[in-house]
Amino acid sequence: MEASDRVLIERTLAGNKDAFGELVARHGAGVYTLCRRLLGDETEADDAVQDTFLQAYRKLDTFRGDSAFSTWLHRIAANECLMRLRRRRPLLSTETPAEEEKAPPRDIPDWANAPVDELLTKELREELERAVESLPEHYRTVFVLRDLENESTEEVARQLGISIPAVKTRLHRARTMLRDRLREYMDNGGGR
Amino acid sequence: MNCAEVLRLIHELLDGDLPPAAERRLSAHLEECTGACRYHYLTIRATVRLHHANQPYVLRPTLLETILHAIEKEP
Repeated sequence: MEASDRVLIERTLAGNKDAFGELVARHGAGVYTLCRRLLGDETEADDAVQDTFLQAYRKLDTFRGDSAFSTWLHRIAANECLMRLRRRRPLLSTETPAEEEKAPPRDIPDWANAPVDELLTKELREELERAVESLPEHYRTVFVLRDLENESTEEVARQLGISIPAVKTRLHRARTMLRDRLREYMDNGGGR
Repeated sequence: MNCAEVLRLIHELLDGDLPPAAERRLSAHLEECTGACRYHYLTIRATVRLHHANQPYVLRPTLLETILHAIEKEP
């Protein structure tokens, strides 16, 4: 039977490094996905993932178990990536106000109501990643942390040092931009 | 509640940020409306769901090895 994260953490703290290796193998893809999405760069994502696991290993005794281990790990990874983004240049603070939807009504496309599993082809998965990557950085960071990592609006505001209304504005704008890109992709036959 | 009001509150509805009474009014409007608000609500909801379900990356074996090697060197 597979050992739980809690058991692997206890074994690691008792000096068993192989147990930590199991934690890396178990949670590595999720941490890599987060870093890749936030940084938009494969090489830098590799470095951020490595630093994340090293930090986690060094301060594993501070993990209290109040949240899931993956949540704790993803928080370390997000902080590592945001620090790297700040080092590149200050995070842009220019806001584009969320536009109220004014487009005329259209027919509801099939993809809006279809089961997610039926739609997610390899091609669409790649298109979705390209779409996230193409978002301006200040929209991408908020969308990744809030909608993909399920962090609360308050937590995202704290991590980015911006106001709650600013988080909401950026999130709504990011979602609309992604929807427009997805619509264009589907309208052009991408879903078939 | 009219379409313009619903359009302004679509994201709050998606995030569960509305008081229960407002959420009920909005949902009731969306059930019956054939206007732009229903279109925007459904397409944005689907967009978020698709992105959320997408987990495209794996941890490359070489990167896993690099990490394990770095951990091995830790005191």
